[in-house]
Amino acid sequence: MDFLRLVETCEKVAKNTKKSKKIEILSHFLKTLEESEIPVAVLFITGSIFPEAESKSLDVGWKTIEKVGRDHQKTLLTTPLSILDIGDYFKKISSQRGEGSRKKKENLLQSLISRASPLERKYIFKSIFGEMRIGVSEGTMLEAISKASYLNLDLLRKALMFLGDLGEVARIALVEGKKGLEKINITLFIPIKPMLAEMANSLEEALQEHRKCALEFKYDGARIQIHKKGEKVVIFSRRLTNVTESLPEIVELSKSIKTKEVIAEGEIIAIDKSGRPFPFQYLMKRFKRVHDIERLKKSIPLKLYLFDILFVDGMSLVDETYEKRWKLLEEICPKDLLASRIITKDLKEARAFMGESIKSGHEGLMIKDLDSKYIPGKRGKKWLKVKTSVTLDAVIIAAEWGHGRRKEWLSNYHLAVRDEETGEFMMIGKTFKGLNDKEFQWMTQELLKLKIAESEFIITVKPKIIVEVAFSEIQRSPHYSSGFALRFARITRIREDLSIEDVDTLERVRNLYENQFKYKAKFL
Amino acid sequence: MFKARLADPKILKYSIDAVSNMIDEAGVSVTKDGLRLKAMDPAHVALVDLELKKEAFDEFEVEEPLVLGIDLERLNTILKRAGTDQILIQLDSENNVLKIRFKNSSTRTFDLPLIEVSEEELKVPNLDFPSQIEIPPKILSESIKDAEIVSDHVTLMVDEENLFISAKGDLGNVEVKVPKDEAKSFEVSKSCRSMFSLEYLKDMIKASDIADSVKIYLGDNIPVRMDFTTENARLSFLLAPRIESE
Repeated sequence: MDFLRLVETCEKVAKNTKKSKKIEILSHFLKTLEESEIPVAVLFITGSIFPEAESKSLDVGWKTIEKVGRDHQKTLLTTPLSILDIGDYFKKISSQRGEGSRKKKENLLQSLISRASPLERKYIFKSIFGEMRIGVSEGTMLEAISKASYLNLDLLRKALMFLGDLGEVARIALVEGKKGLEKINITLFIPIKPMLAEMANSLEEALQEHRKCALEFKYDGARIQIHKKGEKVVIFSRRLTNVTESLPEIVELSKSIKTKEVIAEGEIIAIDKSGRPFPFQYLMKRFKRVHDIERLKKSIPLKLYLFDILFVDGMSLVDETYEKRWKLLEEICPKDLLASRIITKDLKEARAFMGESIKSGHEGLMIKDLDSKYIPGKRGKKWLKVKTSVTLDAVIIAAEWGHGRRKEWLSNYHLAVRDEETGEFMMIGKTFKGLNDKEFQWMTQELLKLKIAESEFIITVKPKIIVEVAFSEIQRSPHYSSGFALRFARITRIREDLSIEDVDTLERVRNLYENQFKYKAKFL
Repeated sequence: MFKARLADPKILKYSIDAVSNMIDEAGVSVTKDGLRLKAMDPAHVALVDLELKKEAFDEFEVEEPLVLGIDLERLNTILKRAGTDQILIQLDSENNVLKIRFKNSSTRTFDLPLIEVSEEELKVPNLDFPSQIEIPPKILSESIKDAEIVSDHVTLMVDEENLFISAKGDLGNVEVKVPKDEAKSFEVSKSCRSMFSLEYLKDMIKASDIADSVKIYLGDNIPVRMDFTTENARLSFLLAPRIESE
């Protein structure tokens, strides 16, 4: 099918603001696609270029796009672009490596752009910048797939969590049907989306949530997923990126897990000589590094705390209770690799344990329902986190140049949360507090790479950098698109371990707003 | 079974050098008539059509037609090591490699692993060229090198009397004029001009050193075709134009 048909569908979807209408248009469109076109089309419409589980990217910056936009090189082909052509171009662009690859990427992008009509061009750029803005979130697309394939939404959701590839889920649903989807299960060396915790308002409240619960230290570290088969170990980050090479000592530690095959989850933290945790930023240094690992291994040693197990010797454990999963974990792992944990419903005991966690340099506690199954990718009340202060994970969508001492830096950041309905980012405040000089410098450099537009004082960026923000209060605001404003917002850390769908939702802000008087009473 | 011998490696070396930068990998078809490589670069800007007739080789034996998937960049780096040695090429189908042997006082053997290539149909536009000019390749290659000094693109233009090869840059301009009399043939039905990227042309002119002549097919803002030929070989390029702004 011609690519033009796809972008015309995007236009139509964008113009219809009603979600049900969007779903109807999409579901109709999905049914007209050939099997091989489904994955490309589905990913394109939802604003991603590659499936999440593949950790690939085009790696072309604003400068390249600008240059390519100005150039006038024609191609030899006169046939219109097809949906499959788009997939081919993206694949070829991302696979260029090594010497001369920059130029080759440019030529490929150039070729794509020169073959595209103005409307197609508009959508290619939107897609490259991650700015689709047609109001189709992953959830909306899943509903459209469900409608087109007559399959249950929960079944589709579960398949997506195991595969991490929306395009492939759509293809299987539409071509192979229910049987195909049911075959999808947790598989060694394919990362699955982690189960997530909701923020609890207080320890008291959290303890009342479940019949039986375990309390664990909430480590101030990075979550990882370990996949092991015999001597082969692969480690994935929370964003499903393969980080095995940066973490050789964790690979070694993983080998001490007794079973032949295992998928386990844990948290790693960086520690100093006395065993106290380093701030989060040091840990991130280890994650990104692929060179000089041996030296860093010495200066930033890591510690692993396992807390869950999802797969053992060919058997999926996600449908087992947390109580049973932990028991298994205890049996097969050395004790010093396990997270600190107690089982209690007693507030006094819980408070003491919370105090212990904070004193040891960690963030707070996780409170987990012992009867709960592991639901990949789901954020819910089965797991709760309790911290000493409430924070939001917001994404930076624009930044202003600083004044005075900060003149050279982008230092005032526009923060946004995600509208869970449309997938768009809604502004919720600005802040210039919380970063040190080095971080300002880093931030400026990174934001410039993400620049989409600029005026005299403000640059607009592709939403990518996520920051944890502390604040004193949430207020109603007519100024910001979210309808809310954060008072005294301050960046508490840069969350390089989170991906864009981890950005907190407008719904959470609404809840926090409604809850906050209750809070305040508690904390004041 | 396929084997071939070249006493003088030059023709193979230069023609692969001219195409390997544009085209990373390609299927080379081998028939009793010789070798043929036809491929488009990944950006679809240039088309290469290389034909080495069996007469270009000192020995050439093939049982039945086959297609060899070749990593041209690898092949080029190997051929660069040939010097002036005689080249022997032999297919080892059991191990799926092409054995490339350089023979002089010593014998050096390289194994080039064959790769899977997708045979996509090339949809090449049909073009009518109003002008066809044949010139010594040296004139073309020198003009392209002149143009490279000032710009990254070059304009080819003909009128009834001359062929002009010119480039404009921020630091200055250059124009090369080739009068009708210097050309081996000069058929111009109307004056025309097109602009091209030097990035591609500078690779293409590497074929100049082995060719006896180059025939340029030109039109107005359409692709240019360039045929470099010798008695037993032809290297033909089709290159899409750049559209001049303003």
